[in-house]
Amino acid sequence: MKKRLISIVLGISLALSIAGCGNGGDKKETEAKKETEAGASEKEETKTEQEETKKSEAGDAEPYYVAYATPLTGDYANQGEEGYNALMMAVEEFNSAGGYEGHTIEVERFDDKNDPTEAANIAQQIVSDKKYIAAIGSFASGATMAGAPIYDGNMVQFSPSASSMAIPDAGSWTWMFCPDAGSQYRSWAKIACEELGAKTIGMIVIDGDNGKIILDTVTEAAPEFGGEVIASDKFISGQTRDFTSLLQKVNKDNPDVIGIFCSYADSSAMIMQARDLGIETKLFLSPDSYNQYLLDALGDTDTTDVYVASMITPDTTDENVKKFTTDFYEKNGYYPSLMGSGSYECGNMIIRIIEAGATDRQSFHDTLAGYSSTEGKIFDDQIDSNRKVQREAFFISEIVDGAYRCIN
Amino acid sequence: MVYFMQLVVSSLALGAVYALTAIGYSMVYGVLELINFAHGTVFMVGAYLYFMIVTAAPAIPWFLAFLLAMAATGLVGVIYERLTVKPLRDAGMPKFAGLICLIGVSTVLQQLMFLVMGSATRQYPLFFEGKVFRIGNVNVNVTQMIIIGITALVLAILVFFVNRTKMGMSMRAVAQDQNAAQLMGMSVNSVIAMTFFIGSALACLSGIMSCMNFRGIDISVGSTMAIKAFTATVLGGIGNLWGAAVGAFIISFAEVMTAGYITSNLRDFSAFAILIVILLIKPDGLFSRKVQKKV
Repeated sequence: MKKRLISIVLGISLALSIAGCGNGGDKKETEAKKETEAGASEKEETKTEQEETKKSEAGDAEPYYVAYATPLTGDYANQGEEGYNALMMAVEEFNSAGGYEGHTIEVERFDDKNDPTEAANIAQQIVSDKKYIAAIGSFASGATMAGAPIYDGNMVQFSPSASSMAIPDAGSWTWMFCPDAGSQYRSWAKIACEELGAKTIGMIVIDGDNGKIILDTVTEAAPEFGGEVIASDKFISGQTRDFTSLLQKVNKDNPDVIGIFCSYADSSAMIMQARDLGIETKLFLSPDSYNQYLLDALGDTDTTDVYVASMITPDTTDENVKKFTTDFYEKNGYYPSLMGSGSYECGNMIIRIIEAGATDRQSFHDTLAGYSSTEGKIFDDQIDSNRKVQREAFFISEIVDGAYRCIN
Repeated sequence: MVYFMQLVVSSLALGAVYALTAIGYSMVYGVLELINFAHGTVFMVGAYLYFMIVTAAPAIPWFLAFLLAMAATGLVGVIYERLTVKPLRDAGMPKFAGLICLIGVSTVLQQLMFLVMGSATRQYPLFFEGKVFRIGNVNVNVTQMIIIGITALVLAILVFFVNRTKMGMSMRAVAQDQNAAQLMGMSVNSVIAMTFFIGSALACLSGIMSCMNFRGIDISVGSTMAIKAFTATVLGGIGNLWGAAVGAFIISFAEVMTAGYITSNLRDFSAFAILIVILLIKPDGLFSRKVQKKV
């Protein structure tokens, strides 16, 4: 009994002592913690002050954030990659020169997969985050127009390569840095008639809105340059690989030139099938086909009298175009196309606006709206009242020994 | 008239390619009563195998590369049949399970080829450089002539094989009644494997011919071909080799003449419209036969 009582008393004492120590420990710990936190806070404040001092000493103020929303995965991932690489050429040059009053530009990438639904979601995300001052994107017209209403009134959207004539109506804060389809294909008609001597033209387009615009534009513009569209047909891309009947139909009345307006996969097949059929007519492809993939798909095919239009080419006497394409090639190992040049010029315009002191979204928009030309590093394009660049430059290349050779 | 004849030549070449693919569909259906949805993908795989052999080992003569590619593709057919269709058959699963499985096989094969070859379109090597002959006022290139000639030859060989050889007889027996064939001592599994081998080899042949005719190859070449060839099979009477060939030429003529005289974007419309009309008149296809089955 006695032993039990002693055990109980000892047990209670032990319990009480542990509790007391814990509390005391907690209290001490709290005090110690408070001291530590106070110390840490002081240290942090000191650190922040030091950082700011350091920043102001070195010129590294808060950067300006630009969103780059293009396809990073899927069929057009290479276009998104090319555009980003070109944009970074402009940004890195700006940043390495110290930026503007210490502020550099940071580019953050978003993958819209060239899908309009995805592009709209990403636009919402970008607009909601106050750190972004401007957005560049997308690659194609569908995704660009999906984002345009969301950027409208909130943030400037630069479109580096989309060419739909409906883009200006989709959003009043969207600027097109690529000539629209009407302008491009008018230039195509001019070159077909003047450079290739075409009096009669046959046309092959993809069935759809864009194909209709191309056909209507060329049909309307050709007479101005002494030509005439005498045959045309549409096809559904992916429906078939057999273009023999299509080619025979368009070539039936022996036009001087057959215009082919589709991607490189279909146009390369058409070129080879045309020659296999004994069709010797000049073939003039649209800028959509101007890329390395076309050359790879054609392989060692005889490309006599095959021409490709483009809005950028390394093989030119234009010094600005040559410099950009050469610099891009040295940095990335391949030549840029329209997406690269468009993204680069968008970057240069953003830099120009920041250097003019417009560093919030509203003043950014207002400054841009006051410009009547791009004063870019590649092109100095006029900007019309619909926020679209106007550009006469349009190149035509023949394919010789597996490479493009500019002839104008 | 010259223009019409030019379109006829295009129709014959296109029809020949459809016929080779359609015959493969018909053979498998005839033996297993199963539509092989992996056939279009095997078409693409076969075409790529020839491309890879010729590109990796240009010293190999083209006919040897051609036979190697056909044999390898036939083997691919046997492998996926053994790994997927046979276990389902042995387990007594309903036919739609095999159908779904073959759709899965098609997806797997396509993704595998995508990983190996990527998505870029490539120029396809020819047997002979594209010489163009003039017959009257009509241009015919050597590839078109080869395709038409090979199709006629293959069709004749197949008809002979199916009707005059022991294996052909076994295939007809298994097609008629698997259980009875087995009871008669035939190895049903071997016959089915042989059917898949031949069907896949034919898909390879048509893939090579098609890519040579159209001068390019990429991952999607099989998908459009598969739909048209299957349509041809149904049109001619599924399970009938001659029917598949005739159906193929009907489809190709409809497509090419529509493209040549009306517009290219209606070519599919005309082909499928003809299919619908013929099936409304003859639901089992043009050359279907009534088969008595004891219950």
